[in-house]
This record gives sequence, C-alpha cells and structure tokens, in this order.
Amino acid sequence: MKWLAFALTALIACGDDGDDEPPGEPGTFTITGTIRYDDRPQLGTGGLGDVTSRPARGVHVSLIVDRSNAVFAETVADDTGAYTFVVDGLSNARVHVLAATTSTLATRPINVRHAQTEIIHGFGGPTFGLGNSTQDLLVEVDSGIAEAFNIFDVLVDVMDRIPTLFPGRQAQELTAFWNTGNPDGTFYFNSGLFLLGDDDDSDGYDDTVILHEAGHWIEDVIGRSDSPGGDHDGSPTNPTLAWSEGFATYFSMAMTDQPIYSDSNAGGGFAFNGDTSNTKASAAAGLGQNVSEDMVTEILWDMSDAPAIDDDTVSGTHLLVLAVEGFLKFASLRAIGTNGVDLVDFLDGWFINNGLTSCAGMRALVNVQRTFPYDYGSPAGVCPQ
Amino acid sequence: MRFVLLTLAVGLAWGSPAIASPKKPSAPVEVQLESKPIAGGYEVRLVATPTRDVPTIELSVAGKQLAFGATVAGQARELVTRVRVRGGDGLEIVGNVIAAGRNRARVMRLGPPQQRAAKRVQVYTLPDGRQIGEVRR
Repeated sequence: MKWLAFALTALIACGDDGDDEPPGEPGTFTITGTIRYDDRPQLGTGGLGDVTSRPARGVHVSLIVDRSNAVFAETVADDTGAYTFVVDGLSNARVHVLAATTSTLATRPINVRHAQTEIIHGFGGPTFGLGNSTQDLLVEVDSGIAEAFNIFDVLVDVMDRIPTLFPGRQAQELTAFWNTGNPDGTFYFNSGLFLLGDDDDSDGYDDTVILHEAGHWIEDVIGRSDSPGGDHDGSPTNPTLAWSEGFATYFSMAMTDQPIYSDSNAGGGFAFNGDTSNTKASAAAGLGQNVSEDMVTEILWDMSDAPAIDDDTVSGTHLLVLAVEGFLKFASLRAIGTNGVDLVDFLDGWFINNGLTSCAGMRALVNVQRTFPYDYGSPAGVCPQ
Repeated sequence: MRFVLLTLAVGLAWGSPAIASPKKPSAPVEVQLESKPIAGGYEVRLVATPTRDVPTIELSVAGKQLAFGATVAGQARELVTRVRVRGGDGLEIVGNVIAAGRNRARVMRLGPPQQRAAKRVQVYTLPDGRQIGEVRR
C-alpha cells in the first residue's frame, strides 16, 4: 500500500540527525518490505511445533525518523506482510521501520497491548539512510514479543470471518493484553482478552486458547451469556457456565475447522478432541442438571461438522450453529431448567431457526449418545418420535 | 487483574455476589513446587491437590515420575526428589501434574537467578494518539 508523504519541509526539519552522513538531496523515495514473525504452530496434542516464520498480516507499519522519534509515514501491511512507503525527503536521513500490533483499518479494529503498561507492542528494524530500499523485518522469538504478533494474527482471522459467520454484523473493537511474564491468568473481560505470558504457561502461541477467549467476546457482543464465570475443568458444573465455556471452545474449533482444543504449558500441555470424545449427562436427572462443558462442545461440533468428517446424521454447518448464538441475544427463554442461557435454550433456538427436519439426528446426538434429557419442547413444535 | 478487582469492588458495593470473568479450561488440580538447599543441590517437593475426585494422578519433576490411582478432591499427593546443582550454577526445573487428562505445570529455578537483560523499550505516539512500545533488533 502506498502512502503519500507529509510535506517535504517536515522531513527537512527533522531528518538531519547530525550523524556522519552528509546532508542529502531532496527526492522521492520508495521503501518496500515484508513484515514476518516467528510462530510456533500447535501440534494438536497440547504442545507446540518448531519455530516457523509467517507473514504479519495487517499489522501497522510506521517509518520513524531516528533523531526526532517522529512518525514520518504510516501504512498497514497487506495479507502477505508486504508494505510500501513512497515519501518525499532528504536522502540519507536516518530512519527505521516499526511494525506494531494494531490496525487503522475499520474492518480490523484490533489492538494487542502489554498487559501491565497497556501500550501496543512494536518491533523496530535497523536504522538506514533514506533512499529507495527494501527493509524486511522478522519479529523473532528472542525479541520477546513474537507471541503478541501471533495473537494479532489469530484475531485477524476472527475479524475477517465475522461478516460470513454472523451476516449483517460489523467488526467491533477487540483488544488483547499479553506480555512475557504476565502472571494474571487467561480470561475474558469487557471486550478484552487477557492472556497468560508466564514461564509456567504462556498462551501467546496457543491459537485455540486465544480463540476460546474470543468466543466469549462473541457471546458478549453478538450473543448472550449468563455464566457466573470462574474456574472450570470439564467436570459437571452450573449449566450456564457449562454452556458458555462449551460454546467458547466450540467457537475455537469452528474457527480452525478442526475439533481440537489445545493448550501448551511448561509441562507440555493438553488437548481435547470434540469429535471423538463422548461426555454424557445423567438421563435420569432434569434439564437443569449440572453438565460438562465438554458435552456442550461435542454436541455443537457434531451438529456442525457436515460433511467433511461427519459421523452423525445432523447435516448442520458452523454458520447454522453460530446463528443460534445471535438468536439467543434477544430470545425469550423458556422457564425451564436453569435460569439464564444454557444448552436447553440453544437447542430450542436451533429448532426455532431451522425447523424440525433434524429431529431424528438430534435425538441420536443429544438424547442417545450424550444421554442429555432434552424435551424437544421449544416453541418450534414437538419433534416427531 | 485491575478489571477483576474493579468487578469485585462493584459487586461488593451493590451487595451482590461478584461475577468472575470467564477463564480458560484448566486441569482439576492445584500444584505447588518447593525447594530447599541441601548438600550438593536441592531437595524438590511437588505437591498436587485435585479439586475434584480423579481416577488417576501423575506427578513428574526433574526426571522422576510417580503415578497414583483414584484420588479424592483435597487429597494431596506429593513427589520428593533431589536435584544436583553445582555451586554457582543454576538450573530450571519443571514440575508437571496430569489429572483427568489435563496437566498443570510449574517452573522453578534452582540456584542463582538467571540474568535476563531488560529489553529497552522506546515509546512512539502515532498521529491518532496510539502509543507503541518498540523493541529494536
């Protein structure tokens, strides 16, 4: 993306840094390059793979005048990490390129900030004399902020898919907070994703953990949650907590289109497969019983995994399942089970949105495979036996 | 954390139970890793306390492993081992606990702390007011 320079006088005023370079000649110069960062891909077993560099899609790029620390030009990297500046200035003025985890694009209102200082992360390249040149940057692991660039990249995926997954919805500002050494836990609060950066457990490369917290953001801005929050470990718990956490984990799987939730830590980490796991409820208990978040995730995945790896007869898609989250925001919930949005309300919403054609498959998934006693009593009507 | 504290404060001010923020899925176990110096190194103690009943629990630290069968919530399981650390050297160890298929880990440094050079951060302000903290190559 080309950027037209500030007035020539601006650089003349601040471009001569007094170093050994002689004053340069006025001219128009093109600086191009590619911004990349060191990623560590998730292995699907909990651990992380070897370092591999990836394009830093959509990051903010500035051209900085070294002597004055002034931002001389700014642009946004494209989806290959490429950027271009075309500037008027004095040759040999000392400048450098700064890539940052923020965006000025309305479609990608993302910021990744230091969890303590709340300042946006940035990585600067070497100083060079202004002139036509190529300045590539690689944000290496050793910089201590490559994970921030990965978090930004994961959230680019979320923003880019909102118009498809939630038709009619626009991108809204989303901020992640992370830094090396951040011990404050991984959680969602008030349009903020707070992510661990501890030696014990850092989540900057755990794409599915980032996406899980983004799932809570989706509940907040597009859907609805009545979860009391707090700790959860897959065991039966408050139905509104189980629903919210199960949905968030499902959202991470829908975004990657893989039924794997994976979380690395210093001990290796752990993973959960939402397609091959089978977590059951108590068939004898009521609709308001404590249930596992894992069961919620498994049901949602099975409802949406047609046709690629489907092993059930419900031919749903991620689009149809996620549409129910939007429906729940304004839905009148049945006074049944527990108060607040839970799996029962989601299943009601599914039949209200999609009719009763999936009844047989849903009975097999919900009532038989997971032994959850859903009553098919939604306003959509009673499923035929 | 400041937001959590704010939430707690607001909840208390209104006299209603505080709402906790949604956290990430975790292992049903609390883990402590402790050490004390002994001749030639350190004695290391890894303590795992499940937060619910679990069918098995596995502890490992510094190359030593120990597995237990069914363990009820609140029942502590521990693994104690000795780690040789030469005088003046330091060593980082990981204590790891697996419970109900999920793990939780703790990292501890034995001996003198590792010197980590603090990275210099230069703050720039974009024309729209956003502040960027720059780490240089």
